[in-house]
Amino acid sequence: MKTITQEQKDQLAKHIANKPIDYIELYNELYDHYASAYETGEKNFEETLEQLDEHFHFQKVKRINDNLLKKTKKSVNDIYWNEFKNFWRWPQILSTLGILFLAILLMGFIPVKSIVWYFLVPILALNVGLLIYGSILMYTKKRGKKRFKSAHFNATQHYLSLPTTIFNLTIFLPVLVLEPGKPTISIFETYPIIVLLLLMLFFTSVYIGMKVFRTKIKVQYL
Amino acid sequence: MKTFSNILIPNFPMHKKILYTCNMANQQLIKGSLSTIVLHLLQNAGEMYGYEITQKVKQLTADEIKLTEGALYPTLHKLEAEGTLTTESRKVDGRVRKYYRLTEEGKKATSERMEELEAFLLNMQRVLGFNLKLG
Repeated sequence: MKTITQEQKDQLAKHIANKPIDYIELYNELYDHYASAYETGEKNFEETLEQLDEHFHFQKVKRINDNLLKKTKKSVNDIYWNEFKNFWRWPQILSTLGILFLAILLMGFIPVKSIVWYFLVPILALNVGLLIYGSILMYTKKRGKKRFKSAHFNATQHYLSLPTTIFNLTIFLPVLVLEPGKPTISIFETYPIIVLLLLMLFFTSVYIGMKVFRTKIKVQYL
Repeated sequence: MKTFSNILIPNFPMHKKILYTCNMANQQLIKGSLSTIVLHLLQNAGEMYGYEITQKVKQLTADEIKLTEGALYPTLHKLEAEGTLTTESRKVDGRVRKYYRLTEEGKKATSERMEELEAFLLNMQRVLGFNLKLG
């Protein structure tokens, strides 16, 4: 078995980057296919590229690339839905209920301001950080002197911004339920169950977002 | 259990039966069976990456059947989008490699497809009256 040299790696990176590819997922998959074919095959490097280019010609690669985002969106939706359902299934349901129980207990003892500033805001910042980190990865990590987008990042973006929306909801809901003469109403104290449910949604979407980011997005730019 | 394919070609793995059933010159048949081939290979191997799948098919058919590599990835992506396959990317030999694996739903779908294929082959045998001679 041959081993691809650094010079061949660079040449291959440029070769794949010249194909009509927008997404890092497809770039990595084709790069690995070509490199594996060379390393395990009998042909020399140039012959391997030539032979595989017959299969992965311009139109074919373009078609795969064009369909990739649509398919990725579908699989990301499935991942989110399945992960969300898992929170309410055995055995994860135990930890979910445990967190809920703990949250109810803590809310009685810890001032709401402290919960917001020392707990929720840092988690929110972490989640926003993922969006920024993803954009930095796409901008800085070049392959064959070309920048590639992540189909998964693209498909996940609205999910990654979901925790921010939920968080904002918990902040702005009090405004919606304000009653005359009661300007200081706190939804945390008045409607704790609604707040807890919103917070559960907040935590689950942050957790799933981080998991998807680590396993589907970050790994592509290693 | 005595299935049609076991009577037809005893002690022969299912994917070989599928592949040999298709005429090697007839790529259209292979293309139509591509997802079934992929699913069955993954059922046996647990997890595989794209290039490995093409090589496995070559190896099993003694290089007589070559998958259209350009058609393999759209099939894999489609199966992933359907929830039949799940993927995991890992860094191997300094590059990112994407492994495909059957989901629980995919395992059920594979069994169903194999049964459908067996029934189809049986019907073709009846309708066309040919005898499959293999090997």
